[in-house]
Amino acid sequence: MAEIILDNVSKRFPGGTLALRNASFTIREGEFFIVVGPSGCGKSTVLNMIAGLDTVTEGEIRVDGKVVNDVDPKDRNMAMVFQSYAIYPHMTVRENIAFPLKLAKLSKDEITRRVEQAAATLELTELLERKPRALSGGQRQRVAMGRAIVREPVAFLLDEPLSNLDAKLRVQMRTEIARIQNRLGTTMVYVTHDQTEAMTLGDRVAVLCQGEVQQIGTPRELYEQPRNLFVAGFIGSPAMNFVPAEFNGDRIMLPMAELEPPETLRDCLSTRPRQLIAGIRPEQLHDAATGGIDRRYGPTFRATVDVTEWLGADLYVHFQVKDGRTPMVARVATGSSAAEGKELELWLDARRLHLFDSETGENIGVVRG
Amino acid sequence: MNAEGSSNERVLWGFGSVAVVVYALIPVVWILSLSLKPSADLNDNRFFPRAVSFDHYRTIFQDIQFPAALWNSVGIATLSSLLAVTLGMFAAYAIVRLRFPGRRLVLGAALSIAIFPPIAIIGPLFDLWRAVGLFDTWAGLVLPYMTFTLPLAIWSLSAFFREIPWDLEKAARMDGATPFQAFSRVIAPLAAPGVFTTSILVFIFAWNDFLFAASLTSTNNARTVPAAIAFFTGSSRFELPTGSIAAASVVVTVPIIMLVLVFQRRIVAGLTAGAVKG
Repeated sequence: MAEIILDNVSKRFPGGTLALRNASFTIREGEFFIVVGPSGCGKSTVLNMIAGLDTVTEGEIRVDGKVVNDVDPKDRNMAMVFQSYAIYPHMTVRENIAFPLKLAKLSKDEITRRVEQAAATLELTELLERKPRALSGGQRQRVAMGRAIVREPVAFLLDEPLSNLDAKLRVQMRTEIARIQNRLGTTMVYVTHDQTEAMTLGDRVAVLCQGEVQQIGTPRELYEQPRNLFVAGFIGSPAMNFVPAEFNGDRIMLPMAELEPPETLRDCLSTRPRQLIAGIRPEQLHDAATGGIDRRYGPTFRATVDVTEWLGADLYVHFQVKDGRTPMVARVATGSSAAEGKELELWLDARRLHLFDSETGENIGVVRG
Repeated sequence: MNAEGSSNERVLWGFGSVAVVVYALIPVVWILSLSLKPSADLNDNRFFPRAVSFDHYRTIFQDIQFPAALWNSVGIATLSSLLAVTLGMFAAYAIVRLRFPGRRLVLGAALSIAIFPPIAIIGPLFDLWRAVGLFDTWAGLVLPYMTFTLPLAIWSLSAFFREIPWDLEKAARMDGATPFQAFSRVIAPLAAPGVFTTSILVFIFAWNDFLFAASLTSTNNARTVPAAIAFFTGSSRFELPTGSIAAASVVVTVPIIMLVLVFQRRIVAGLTAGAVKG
């Protein structure tokens, strides 16, 4: 177990591309830490630098207080699971899992004991003598996990470990990884592009975009108080709706309605008029006909439904705002009578409205409040 | 394609394969037949021998020249392929994995050596070898063989290394391997088919070479079989050593055939199957 600190870390590749800029964060001991972002945002670079597979251009990486910038990967005692699994095809499952222990020159009995134990944890016992080519994708993934847990490392580094699995297996392995981490209590750094994985697994999540850390926080913080437009749009599915908004010093004008600034945001807005972007989560939009609405907390408006998506527990309603030509999506109760091509009255619950500065993209409620 | 079309196709393919095999094997069968004919029957204009005799084989092995040449051939070809493949493996690995200045230069230089005509350097090499004492020694042949086959080794091995997922090496490093351990325990075993293929090609080059062997040797110290065969004499000056040459040719073909048969099973594609997703 270890505490990993990135102190002003930057990474510049020989071509001159800046993959990571001044990243500073602390991964606490025993924490399940997620690094999430779209492809090319530098998240794998972060992991590779912690692992020692990539050099650090500027700044320091400290593990338990010791600077590890120049420590060879083999001496860092960290285990890594690769997106491609990277299991050795010429070795059996047993040899694969035993490989790190053999390199560490453990005794034969100890190796056998630990391999069997890891195999039992991951339900690989019957596959131990097989070669990787005779395994399914999910089994290979488990072998890669086995090779990581067998050596009792100070930290696990996982690079998109689930992205090559089919949807059902992915959910299953996700739970499995969470279980393993809970039981072992080892620091885990998990890189993914999938915000669902980030939200469900992480103790804390760092959102990266174009080499810069946008926000670090618990999944709840990221969801409820996104620092800027990027985080707001990246976290949550379906994504947050963004509409242009104008504050005239007193009221907020949206393309479909106007409203008084919600209480929470009143302090952040001066009386000076300004251009804003309003962020509305799909679940803040309700079908006015299904009840439970309160006009004190937000306006109602009419819109024509484009497409509906019924998911059993939810109904997603896609519609266009009348004059804004902005596509929006609402998540309404399944009892709603929304039908494609028909008009629908929607209620906007403005209590959790997000307002972003139209130039900087910063959430005025979070940054100043 | 319907069943009729595919059976037609099969007949065509079968016929084509037989034609090619016959075309390739006729000279081999002819040599074998010659080597088995008693001396008196050598000019009997028959494709298959009337009587089988192993006299020619006995003759060549009784002479001290041929067994010595065979030993030289085996030793020199083995050493050359070992050296060329070992060096080629390191060079190819560096070219594929590392971004160092002059990568292209190394590949270009290798290619230019490969297309350089050996005959152009044989004269100077003869003088040089005599001056430095490499003339008529094993080293004197191993060196040029290694040099001329190294480009082939580098090119074909780098093609094999390129196929190996780099993640495997990273994984090995994370598992606690030094760079050399990652190479020797993970990468090299996976490149084995490439290594075997390349070794066989280099071995055959050294085994078959006549030019260097004839020019840079003078005695049984280092003379290899192709050169030795050229120095065969008949039992009298009125007799051509046709039978002995045929027998010697058959004998030198056998190790090559064995080599390919033994390693054929190792030259299987898809050894990396299962390493990564799929």
